[in-house]
Amino acid sequence: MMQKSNLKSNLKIKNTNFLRDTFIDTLFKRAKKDKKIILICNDQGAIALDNYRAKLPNQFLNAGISEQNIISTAAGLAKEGYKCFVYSISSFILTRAYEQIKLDLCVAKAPVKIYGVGCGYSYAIDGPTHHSTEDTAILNVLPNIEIFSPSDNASVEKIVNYHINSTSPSYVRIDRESPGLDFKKLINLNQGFRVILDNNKNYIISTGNFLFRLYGMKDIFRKANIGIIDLFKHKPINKSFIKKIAKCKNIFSIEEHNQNGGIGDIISSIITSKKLKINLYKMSLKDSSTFDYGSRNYLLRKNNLEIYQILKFIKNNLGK
Amino acid sequence: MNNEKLNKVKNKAQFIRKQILETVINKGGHLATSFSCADILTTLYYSGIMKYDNKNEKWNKRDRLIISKGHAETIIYNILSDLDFFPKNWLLKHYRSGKYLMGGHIDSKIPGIEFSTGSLGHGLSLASGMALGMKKSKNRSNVFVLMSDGECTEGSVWEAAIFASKNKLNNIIAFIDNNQISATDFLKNFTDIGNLKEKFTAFGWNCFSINGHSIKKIYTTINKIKNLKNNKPNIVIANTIKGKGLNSIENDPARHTKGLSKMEINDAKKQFKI
Repeated sequence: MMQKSNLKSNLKIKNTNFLRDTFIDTLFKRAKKDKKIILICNDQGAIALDNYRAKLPNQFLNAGISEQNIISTAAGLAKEGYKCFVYSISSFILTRAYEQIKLDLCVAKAPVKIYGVGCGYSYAIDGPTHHSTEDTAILNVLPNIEIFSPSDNASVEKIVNYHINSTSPSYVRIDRESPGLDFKKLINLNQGFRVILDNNKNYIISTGNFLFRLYGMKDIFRKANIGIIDLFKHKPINKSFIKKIAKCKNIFSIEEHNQNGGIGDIISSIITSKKLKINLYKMSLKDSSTFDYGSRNYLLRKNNLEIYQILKFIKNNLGK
Repeated sequence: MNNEKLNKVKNKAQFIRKQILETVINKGGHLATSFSCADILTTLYYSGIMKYDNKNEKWNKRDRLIISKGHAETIIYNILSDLDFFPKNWLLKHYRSGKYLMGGHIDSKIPGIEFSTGSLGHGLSLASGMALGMKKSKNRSNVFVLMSDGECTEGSVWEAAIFASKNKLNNIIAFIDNNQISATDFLKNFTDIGNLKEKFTAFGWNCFSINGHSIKKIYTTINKIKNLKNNKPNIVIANTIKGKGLNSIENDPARHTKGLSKMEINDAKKQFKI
């Protein structure tokens, strides 16, 4: 395995396009031809948003800092046949308006799509008010909603295009930082996962921004005899994912999400309910450091999620 | 509204109260709050001022009605039953019993209901979304809302008040069932929502304060609103008495949940000739 100093340099990945800009640009292309599409935000900024706002003023709504009102209003608009896309910092819209999401979207089955930017520690230095480290956990317990966690621009584009005519409420966790690359293999939305690096018994299963961190190390993982799976859809889980992991011997779930209720727990519950004989090693954010401030790398290091820590952990456990 | 029509609606309001009472005696339910808003809802459904089609609940030209005070299920289910939105035997078979198709709060699975409600502070925002959508679609129907005064202590109500005013949603006609009693006590004893008319006026709404048991006043106020030429959303502070129409429960803060005693049931039956 590589030394710590060498690994750090691999994390410098050139920014190409932010995931949120891909979301807005893709939506803009569709909205130009579909007057039923409405983008609602809570006073959020983004360069791509300026273009959308200027060219499609009747399909854009800055509803101000009023998340509860935004979700219910979007539900009302959806009831009248409009295709509402809500764009917000993830933590604000999910936790402030949780009851509205539960009742006015999930009970009502209102096909409103929430694009939450800043999942995990994306807004690292801005602190726990801006972190979104429990999004999958709190939404996974609500029936009828879909949860997506794309890791590259091509995935975001595909999800937006699917969302135009989908009939479910949906949440997309968008990392604030750009992955700066597109994996060669396009996602299959029904499957809900894709194999980034194949293996016959050992897999890292990760999601969102972690994929590009891991992708940079793929040669090392190949040599270490471990594959990589991108679990980009957290709810509902497709049967093909269960089939895929059923043959595994070791799984390492890696996520920038609280230790409770993330993809580690999703996989754990599959293993339990299907009585699978798999060693599952969960790597996630400790409860104790969830509300900390710091740079993203500092916060990850504190949770043993820096890439060299991950490699060490995997090496130790695979060698058993 | 001529006298003949007025009397017809008044009689209907009395009939609906009687139906509610029978339902509550047999199955339980929210009695006091239903009597509080009985004249408002009866006027909407039986005076011809609100458009709906009981055979086609999704009729695009219908006026929308959102019951934000979702604990008013006893009255709304009785009205919808009377108007044949669903088979007459549903109330007997399914209200708070059997398969619990109809539970203790308003459910959108029941024909004639737009949104499930029960937690307060959602209705005005839901209405704002519908009202905005209808304006965009050039649908000239209105969105009626029924809220409670206790509900106005929810912050989301004021988020919606700002939004509806800014977006000129003059197709909203909201009623506040202003009976001054919340779930456990008179509002003034634990919170002070102050003068709702002044507050909504300050938020940019057309505001009307009326006797919420005067069917004539409710009807003429809606008509007045429909003829207004400004762009403001509309709110009617309907001053009501919780439990209005049944002497033993009127204006009693304990009656949001407390049921009737055997003696009270006998008295109520005599009063309503059941």
